[in-house]
Amino acid sequence: MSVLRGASLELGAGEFAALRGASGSGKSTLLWIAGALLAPDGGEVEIAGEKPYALNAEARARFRGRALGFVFQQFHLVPYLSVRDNVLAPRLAHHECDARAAEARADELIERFGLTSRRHHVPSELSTGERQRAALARALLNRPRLLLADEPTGNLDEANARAVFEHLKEFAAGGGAVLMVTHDARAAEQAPRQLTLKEGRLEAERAAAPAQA
Amino acid sequence: MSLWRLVLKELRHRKGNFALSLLSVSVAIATLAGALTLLRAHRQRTESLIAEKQAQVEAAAAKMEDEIRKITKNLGFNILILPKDQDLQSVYAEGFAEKTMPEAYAARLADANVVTIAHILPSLTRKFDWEEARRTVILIGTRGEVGEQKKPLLAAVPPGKLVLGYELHRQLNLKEGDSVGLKGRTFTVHKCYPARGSKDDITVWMDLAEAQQMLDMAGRINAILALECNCATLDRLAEIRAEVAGILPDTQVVEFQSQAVARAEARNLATAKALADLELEKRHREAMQREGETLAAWLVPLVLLGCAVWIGVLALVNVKSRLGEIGILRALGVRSGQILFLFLGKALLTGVLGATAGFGLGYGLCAAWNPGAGDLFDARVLALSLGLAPVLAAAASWIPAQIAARQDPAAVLRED
Repeated sequence: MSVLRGASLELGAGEFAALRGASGSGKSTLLWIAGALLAPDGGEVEIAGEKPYALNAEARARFRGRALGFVFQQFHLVPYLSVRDNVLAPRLAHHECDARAAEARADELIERFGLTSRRHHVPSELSTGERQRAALARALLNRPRLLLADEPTGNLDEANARAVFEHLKEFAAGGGAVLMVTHDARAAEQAPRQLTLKEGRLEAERAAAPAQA
Repeated sequence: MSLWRLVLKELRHRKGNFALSLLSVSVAIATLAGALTLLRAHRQRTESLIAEKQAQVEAAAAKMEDEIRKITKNLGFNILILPKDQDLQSVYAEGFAEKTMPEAYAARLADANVVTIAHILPSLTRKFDWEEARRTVILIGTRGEVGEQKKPLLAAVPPGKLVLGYELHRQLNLKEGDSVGLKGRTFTVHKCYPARGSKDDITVWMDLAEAQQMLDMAGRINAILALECNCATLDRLAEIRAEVAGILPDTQVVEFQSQAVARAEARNLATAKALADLELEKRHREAMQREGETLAAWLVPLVLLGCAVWIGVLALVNVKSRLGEIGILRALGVRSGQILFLFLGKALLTGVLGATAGFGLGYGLCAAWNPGAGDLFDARVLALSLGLAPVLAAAASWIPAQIAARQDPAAVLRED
């Protein structure tokens, strides 16, 4: 079944885009493709100057670890690892970087996301907001070029959702690109650039300057 | 953060799955180590038992050999060489042969160095009316052993002297050193025998030459008493007869069925029976050992296979319950080889720990049940356990680990 038809998206550094669409419209498929997780039947994907689908599976995995960050609605934290270990998990894929530097980066992110007191707690001991912040911190450990967020606030209350959006904006403001998938119009409004996917095509687009977001 | 840390954290998190996997490996290795230790214990016990029994049989045989020699010595000779034409019925009725043969036969036999005969004693025996004592006695003329004997069993009666049986010296009130008349001659009592409950009690022993002279049978004897020994075969009589027939063709050989012979034969039989029993026991135990080895050869692989299947099922359950985790790790860039390592590393660790516990259990139980079996520890069994268990656990987890490594992260995360 063909999900995306002629969809074309270019996202620059510092951009924060929200992709809306009804269930089954293909927005998650677009996210997987952008995340180097699902090879498209046709077309071309280029992220940070690299074509991930031209790489073999192992090299593509390394690429994901190096250039991409993921945030999910279900958080997908490893249940038996502490917050700190979860934040450090991307280092498994990127172990050539210095361990001390990675730990310092993890501690910095944990502090920035207000999780210092929870750093040794496992996910089941955290609130949903804390879990999503931990997931965000994990996504940012390797300083990705592109952050992919799939309904990142879907399970959060308003205050926590607002905090997540602030962090996403902050990441974009720092020069990273964010592609957020959501079906929630209010959540999409948080992004300076909004895209709508309908019947496999990017139909509507509203752009705003990242700096104004 | 390392893969091993992840493995250890996961083990601590899913204790139930880990405990069941560990139990499975431990049971497999306990069965293996237990079976090998039991076989070792059985072998050691068998060897010890057989060695102990062998030592007992050898000691008993040595003791019997010594006893036979002593008994034979005490009870007299058990081979009688008689003139060939002597009717044995008369010998058994009278206790001695009527026919005679040349005394030189004894020397000829001694000179022939018959290996089956160690001691040769020619004699002349007759019933004799001892007029001075007014009674009939058995007179035996003897000259002691013929040939050079390192250990003569009987001493000769010196000329001019008599040896008296119990009834004679008791009734005639004679003692060693007394003088007594016999057929007009005076003899000195050389020795007085204690009661034997046989014809010996009414027997007079004297020097052979004096007896021959007294009986007018110079140079004649009617029997050669011999002590057989060094027989190679159980059928001694046939062996001795064959030898004697070659040297003294006109004689015959009779074996007295004395108690000594019967006892010696019984003891020989007992020794042979004991040796045969020992051999039977050895074969029986070897058969039992083989049966045990055969059983272990079937049982141990079956248990190992069963445990491997169980470990595989547990690993598969583990993979299924960790799909979300696998998906996110793959999304974060963890490679399929690293996912494979997560599961195989866990299996290897479970294998090593299970091998240690299983060996301890199997060996410990066997050692406790065989307290007298000696040192049952075998480093090779420990090495085998430590080598086999991780391989078994890893092999059993291989397919689930491959399933985990090949998971499509997009599909997993989408489903989650």
